[in-house]
Amino acid sequence: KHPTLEDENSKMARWFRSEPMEYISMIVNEDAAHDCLADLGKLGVVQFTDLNPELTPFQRRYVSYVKRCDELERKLRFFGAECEKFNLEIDSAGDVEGFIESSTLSQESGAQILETLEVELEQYENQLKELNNYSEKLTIEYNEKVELQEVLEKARRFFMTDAPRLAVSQITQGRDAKRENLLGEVNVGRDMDMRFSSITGVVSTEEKSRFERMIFRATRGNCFVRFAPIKQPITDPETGELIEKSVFIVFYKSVSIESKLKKICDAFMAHRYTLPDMDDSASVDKMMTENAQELVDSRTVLLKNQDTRYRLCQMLAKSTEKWTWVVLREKAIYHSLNMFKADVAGMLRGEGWVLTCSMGDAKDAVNRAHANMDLTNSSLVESVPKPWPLPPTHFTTNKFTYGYQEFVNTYGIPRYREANPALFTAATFPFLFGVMYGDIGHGSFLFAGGLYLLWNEKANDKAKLGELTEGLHGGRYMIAMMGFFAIYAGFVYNDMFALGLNLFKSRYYFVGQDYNEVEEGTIATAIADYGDPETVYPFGLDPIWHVSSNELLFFNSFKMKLSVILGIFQMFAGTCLKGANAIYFGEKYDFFFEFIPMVCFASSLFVYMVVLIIMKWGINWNSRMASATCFDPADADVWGTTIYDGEWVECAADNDDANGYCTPTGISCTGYDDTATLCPLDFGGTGDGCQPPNLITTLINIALAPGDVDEPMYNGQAGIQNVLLAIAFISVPVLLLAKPYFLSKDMEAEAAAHGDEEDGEGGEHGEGFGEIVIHQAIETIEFVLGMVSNTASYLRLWALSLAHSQLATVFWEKAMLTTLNMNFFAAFLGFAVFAGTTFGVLLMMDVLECFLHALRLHWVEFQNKFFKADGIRFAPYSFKQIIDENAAKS
Amino acid sequence: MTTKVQMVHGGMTDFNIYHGYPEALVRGMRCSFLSDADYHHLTQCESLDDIKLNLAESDYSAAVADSDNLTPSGFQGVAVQKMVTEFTYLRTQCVEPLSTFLDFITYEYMIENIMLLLKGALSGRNINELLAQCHPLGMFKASTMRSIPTFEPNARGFADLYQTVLVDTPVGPYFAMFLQESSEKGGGAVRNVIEEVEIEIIKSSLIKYWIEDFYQFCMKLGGDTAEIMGELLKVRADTNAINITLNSFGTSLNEPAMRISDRKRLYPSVGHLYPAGTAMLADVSNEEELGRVLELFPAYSGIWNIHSTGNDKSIDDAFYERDVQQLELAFEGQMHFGVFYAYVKLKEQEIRNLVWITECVLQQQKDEIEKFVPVFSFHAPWRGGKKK
Repeated sequence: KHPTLEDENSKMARWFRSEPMEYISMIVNEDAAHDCLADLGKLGVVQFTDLNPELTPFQRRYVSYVKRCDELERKLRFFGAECEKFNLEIDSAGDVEGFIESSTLSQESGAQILETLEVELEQYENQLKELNNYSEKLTIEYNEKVELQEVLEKARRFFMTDAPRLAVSQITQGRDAKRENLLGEVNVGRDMDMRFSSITGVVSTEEKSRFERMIFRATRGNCFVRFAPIKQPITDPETGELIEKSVFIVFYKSVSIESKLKKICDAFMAHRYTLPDMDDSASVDKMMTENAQELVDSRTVLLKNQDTRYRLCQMLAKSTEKWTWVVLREKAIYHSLNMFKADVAGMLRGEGWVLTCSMGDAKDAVNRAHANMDLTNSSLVESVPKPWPLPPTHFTTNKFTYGYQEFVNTYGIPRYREANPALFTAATFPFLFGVMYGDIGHGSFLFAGGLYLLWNEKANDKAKLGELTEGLHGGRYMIAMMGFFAIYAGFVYNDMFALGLNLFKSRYYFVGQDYNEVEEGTIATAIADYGDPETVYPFGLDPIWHVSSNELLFFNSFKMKLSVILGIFQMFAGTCLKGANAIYFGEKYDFFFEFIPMVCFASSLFVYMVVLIIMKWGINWNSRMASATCFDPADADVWGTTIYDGEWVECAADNDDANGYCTPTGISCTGYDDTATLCPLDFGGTGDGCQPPNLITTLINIALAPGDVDEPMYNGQAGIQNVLLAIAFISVPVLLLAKPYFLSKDMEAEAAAHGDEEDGEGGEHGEGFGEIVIHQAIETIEFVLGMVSNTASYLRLWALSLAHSQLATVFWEKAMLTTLNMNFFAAFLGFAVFAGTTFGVLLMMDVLECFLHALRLHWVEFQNKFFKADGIRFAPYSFKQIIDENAAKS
Repeated sequence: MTTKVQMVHGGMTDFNIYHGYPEALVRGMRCSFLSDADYHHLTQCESLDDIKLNLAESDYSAAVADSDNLTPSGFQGVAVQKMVTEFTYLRTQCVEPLSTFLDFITYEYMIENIMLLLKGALSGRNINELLAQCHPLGMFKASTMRSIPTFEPNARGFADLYQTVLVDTPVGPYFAMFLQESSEKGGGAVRNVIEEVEIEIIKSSLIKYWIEDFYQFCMKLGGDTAEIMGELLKVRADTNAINITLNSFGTSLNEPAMRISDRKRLYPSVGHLYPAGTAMLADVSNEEELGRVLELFPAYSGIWNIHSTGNDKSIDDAFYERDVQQLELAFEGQMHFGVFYAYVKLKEQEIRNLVWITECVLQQQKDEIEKFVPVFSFHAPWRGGKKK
């Protein structure tokens, strides 16, 4: 089925005003409530109101179910954490929509679903916990074996190699009366057989130095400590982390030190191991081989345990997400049911907002659920009689409109059914961005970027993205549009990396340009006469402007005027939307006393300015100026040519002062006449219509010198401007006073109607009126001053466009042009600089800057004309949303 | 504790440059306090399960979600853990001298932990059990914590404890000062300190040194910090002095000879009561006399009256209430460090409230349940409100 034009129109209209809402009450049978809600959650079109706001969570009806769901969630988080320990990814449970659709196929009731899940998860949790406990025990055992092995090895090496050497060296030193430490002190060379007690054990390497220091302090240096690191890090049985450990051996003499050392070992959680007599190498060897054998055994057991745990987790990883979804769904159902009220036994009553267009679906869902349980006719879904509470705002968006709607929502949710600025933003935002960013080259990059995002749309939709990429993905259509309009504006400005493109051949030429011999100061000549279609460059600006010396003057004048025209258009459109809202909501005061004066004010001064600008562009000033210029009729080079587009009339020398020169309209010149006398138009002022006016002066003089137009453009300009000024002046007090006046009259009438019973209300009435006046004064000031300052604000379109093109020019000239003229290597470097700055400054910073300024123009200049932005967002009870949000959270 | 501070920290000129971010963070955490509505809901609970459900609606939701330990101490554990997480986060975000200031806050908990361990060792309790009871803000490394109770509870043992273990810790200097003072006093040091009272005396001394040190530090910082923290610490010192006196009645400390030699030493040398008040406190021998001394200090006579007349409220509650009022005020001020101290202390109060409520719920003492001091409550007496 192809969408007809009407469908498309209605879609647009649906985006213009938010979806109509219906406040419904639904009465459902308690037994079918779960299934009803399961179906409604699938639809996602209802937003329930909490009918028991006074109840705390635990006083609610279905709190035990919510608690059970919480418990299940805790178990699932536990599974997730366990899987993470094995670096197992939680498998995706597929499509969320698919899950939601399939979920009702099961014939289980709500309680059954929870029960089966509880039993299942409980079993797995116990299994996992048991395995973990077992694993902890095994790890401890295994660690002991490993550590003992290490201790034995290290100690044997120490006793075989280090100890004798140390003893000897200490002896020699001891003879020199340096009696610092234990070995030296006691040995003094005569008693090699003197035995020391020793403690051996394992301590974590991180604590090694503190351990050593503590021993030194506690024994006051009366001991001898040696460490040897264990190469293989040892697993901590509780956390599963790998810890570096070291074997230590401490020699000491006295028993009191021994108890101290033991305490320190306990404090540092160092495991102590008793060594056999190290001199009896046979027993040491035996112990080592025995231990090694045990080590192998316990390792096998440990690995087996690990394998079992791994396989269990693997299995859990497959289903965890699906279970999570089920639990989330059940929890959402019970949360919603908690908002219902049980007025009648066995029945539950809920209230909430539903999209009017989905009302039927919601009804069907409820009825179907009841029919399935043979409880037909026991449910009721109907509209609540008005008055309703304030309805929430909802827009049905698609991939394209979503970004723009979010863009507006960030500022404020539109009021229910008010004109949605997003509809207009979708077109004007990228366009205004383009006006500022206009450059074919840079725009193409941006466009390509946007297209790349669109190309990857499907993949990105599914993938979990970072915050930045997520934002880019959300704005993919916007970016592509921005790029497109930047290219478009670039063609209009004829700017490609700040260079003109000679696509259609310039309509001007310099003398000698074919031989590269154009001299400084040469004036470009048009290839055909004025008015000839040949002189018109087919699209955009003539590239010749990029090489002319008045390039900046011309571009500035053009872009400035363009910005003002676009700005006034946009603001006027905003004002009209205010009128549309007033009509839609039937607020006639708003329409007549706000919208109409606003339009009058805006048109009489600002739209008029646009008219003047366009009019000035449209007039052939060359011809008009020529008509007030004296020519020699005998000079055939000039006389009769196309500089004046009318009939050339030779003058009769009837005047004494005549010097033989004539204006093209046949007025004879004296050599000292001014334009006003020569000009045939007689519009008044010194220019008389033959002099191009300075628009700024003209506009300022509308207000400063009413009735006085120095350089008019059309006949009767002064009179028309006076009328416009008068309209503007009148509309301000109307805007300020009319609405409060009529409102106060209404209030009085209402008070009179209510009559005598409330005499004491006078004070409140006064307050209300004061508020209205203040509100209206603010509105008026904001609009009147706003029109001026906002128009000026739109000049940022020009300013940013200028900044963009000038930056591009600087990069091109300084980095590229200068180095191109040097040598290959310099050009190589130059290009790197050029590309780098172009990317960093123009493609990154300038895009952001233009984006922000376009954003501001919409949020402030456009939206303040009509947008109330005080709506409440529709938050439907929807499984999809809940599951998506949960996914985003984790 | 020597920290060179050139600038006045607590002035408007440069406060935000250095400490703006942590201050903003701590202000954001104001929202995490339980509201009046939360307290109201909590007091309605019938079981600890309900409490957990209610906390899940508050800022504690993440903290209680995975805890299956439904006991008052279990709740306390998660709440303290949450506070410590937040505090640690703040600590990692700050620069000198704020970082030292925050460390100072933790010293109190370190002293308490050490004393807890020593006391536990006296009664021969399991070290792991003791460690679980320690406040996480005052934790040293596990090995240090474990070695503390291994020393003999006598003068020599304490000297050893200091030389071997505590010398490495920030509270070591306080311990050194205590040892120094006891050895100077001569006689007292020889006596075996196996009574728990003696541990309390050590704790009081250490806290006294801590308050004095902290006070000096705050004074050195200058600006609003000195002003606000000075007031808070003075009141803290006074509270300690009064409590020491009150608790000494009926113990050996109250013997005439000990009053001057031992008890007076425990009074901090800062505070509104110092020196005139503490000198008088040194002579009191019973509650009546103590009341007469406090009569002279309007700020404390009110609190004392609560203690002496009403049996509804304990003096601790009165002190808590006054503390909460002052701390809330300190929290509202800007450009000073007091807000961090206030945050920790107010959270501590909140946790106390939570424990109280859970205990009451557990023991079904419904009529006692309202006896807590809510934080940032609109019903607080100083906000003109009344408890419903």
